[in-house]
Amino acid sequence: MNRTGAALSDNQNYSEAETPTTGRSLRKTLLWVLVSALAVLASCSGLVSYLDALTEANELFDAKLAHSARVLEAFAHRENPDNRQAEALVVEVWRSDLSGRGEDLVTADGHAYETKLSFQAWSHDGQLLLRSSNAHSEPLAPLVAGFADIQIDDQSWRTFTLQNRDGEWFQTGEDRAIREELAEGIAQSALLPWLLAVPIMGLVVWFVVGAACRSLERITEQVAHRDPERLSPIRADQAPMEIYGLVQAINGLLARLDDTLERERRFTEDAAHELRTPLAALKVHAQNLSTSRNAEESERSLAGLLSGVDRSERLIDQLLQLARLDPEAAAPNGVVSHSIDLGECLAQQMADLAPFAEQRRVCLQLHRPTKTEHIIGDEATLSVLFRNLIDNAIRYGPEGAEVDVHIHVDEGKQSVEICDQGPGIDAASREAVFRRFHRGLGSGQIGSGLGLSIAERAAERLGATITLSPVTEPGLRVRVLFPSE
Amino acid sequence: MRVLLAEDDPLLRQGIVDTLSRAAMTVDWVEDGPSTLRALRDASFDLLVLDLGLPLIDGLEVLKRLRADGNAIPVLILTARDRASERVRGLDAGADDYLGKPFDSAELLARLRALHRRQRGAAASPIVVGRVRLDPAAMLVRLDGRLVELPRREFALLQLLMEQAGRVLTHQSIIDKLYRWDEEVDSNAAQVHVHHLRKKLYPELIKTLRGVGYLVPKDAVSDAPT
Repeated sequence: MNRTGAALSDNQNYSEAETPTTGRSLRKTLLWVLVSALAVLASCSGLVSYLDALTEANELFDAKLAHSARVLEAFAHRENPDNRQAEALVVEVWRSDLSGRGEDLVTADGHAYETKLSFQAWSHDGQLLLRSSNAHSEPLAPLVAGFADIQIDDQSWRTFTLQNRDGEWFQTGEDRAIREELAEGIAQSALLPWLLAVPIMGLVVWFVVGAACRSLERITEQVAHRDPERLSPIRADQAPMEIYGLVQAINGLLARLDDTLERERRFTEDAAHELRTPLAALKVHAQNLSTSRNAEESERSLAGLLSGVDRSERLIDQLLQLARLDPEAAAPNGVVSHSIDLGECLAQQMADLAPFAEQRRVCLQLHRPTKTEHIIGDEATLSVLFRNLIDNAIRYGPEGAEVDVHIHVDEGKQSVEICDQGPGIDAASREAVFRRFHRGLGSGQIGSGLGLSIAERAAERLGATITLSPVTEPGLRVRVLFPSE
Repeated sequence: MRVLLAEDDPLLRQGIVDTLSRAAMTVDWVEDGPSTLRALRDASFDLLVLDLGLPLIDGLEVLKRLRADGNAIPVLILTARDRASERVRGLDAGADDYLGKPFDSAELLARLRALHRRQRGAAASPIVVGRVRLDPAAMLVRLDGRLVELPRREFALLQLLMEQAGRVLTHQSIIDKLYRWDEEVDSNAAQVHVHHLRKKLYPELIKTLRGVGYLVPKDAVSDAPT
């Protein structure tokens, strides 16, 4: 991640403020989560094994303890109480200093753990009859029948006390440490695989995530080296499936970006060329003006100059309109759609164009239906659409002609028709007229060649379609069909 | 000098026509490819100013067809597309010169004069015949070093005769070079202009071949007042 950040800042010179705060490393997070999970699982497993083993050991050893007491009673019971000896009999327990585990503690003579077991026998009047050598002379536990947990020399012992019919007491005891040792041993065996798994899984995660990140780094490097002039797709050979989706998304974005840039480039180039001709006209007329030798020549050049300025103004205005209608150039707050009165919108545009119509002695007429018709859309776009179509009708129709605008409703579908008495558009140019900078031949009018492409773009935005009247009809009838709601 | 201008933009066309006319050139214009080819077949022009972005048949194609037909008229290409590669294409297709829009009127005129001069095989720009010195660039005529004011048409006629000094120009060829298609021409127009020129300069400069035409002799030295 850090390397990625460095690569970006090298290439793009991101300032500190722009550098986004990066999240935690994927590798470290995974490692931590995995190790923690393993540790918790291991602890649980160990604890459960320990408790389980302890319960089992308790059951077994308790039974053994009781059993030993009964065996002791069977051998040590005296039928005749007078036959008893004054001194208690001491059974010597085999002692050794063997240590270790399992077989290490075993010899032919006995077991090292024998010292951890002891027993006593008491008469009914409380006299010690018998004891193992490792037992004290006091009762192991209070002389009450049953199991008991007691402390002897700071060690925890488990005892069993048994009284026979003659009132004699038999006690067996056992160091609890034996049971715990057993349970611990079992728990440790259960824990071992988990403990081994932690470092192994850690290494596996480290390398797997590392490999995945390397392909991510390769892709990052490719993205960092793309420049807007050459947006070729990113290669994602051997990239993990999850990353492949990201790469495809980036490639899709790159392709769209390339498309947009290419279109912008072409448009800018076209626009630059289109501006050169009016500019050349302006320059010629201006220079003619400066070299004119009489008032008539001056006036002629001045008129040319002025109409050149008018035309440049219109061209620039139309270029701006087109740029604003660009699908990529969405309004900052999105397009605001609301209900627009078709008749009102048309009337407004026609009123705005009235001076131009006056100048060309063109009679403008709007035929509105009795009922007001509304469409849903963006008013600015609709205005641009109507203005360009009506402007075209005035511009390319003959002087003193009529331009009629009709609003129709057929089967719930609204349409607007703009009819002029101009030369119409022949079959060959039907598609070409919608191309940017296309200019009809012999119109005698200086157009920018943008009007219809602007209208088409605006219509597209409104979901409307523009159709031109059949070639057989005189004049041109432009029909804008709005989508049914 | 008679020039054909092929340009589809009306405003620019009008400007260029004004510029050239004021420089005593006779300019006719066309606005598409086919009319350019037709005009060149039907009339004699000294120069063609050709816009590349012509409708129907574009300028480059017009030029190729022209050269394929063996027409050697000097051609100056006028275009908005003036990248080096475009210029190379234009020149390789047979153009003699290339000018990008927007251009300087003075440069356009100078290039046209240069093309015309090269066409005639002349080296020097001012033409001197006898006691008369004519400077096409400055549009000035001097007689024995003294400035003589001439209207455009008379200047154009004098230039025509002096450029072709020693050759006879018929009435018709003179009219062809001096008048546009759309101009009304009096039957004796050439005669009237020659009359004025003789009066403003000196009579022996222009000789009349009755019923044929006029000529400026190469050694048109008159008995100048000494």
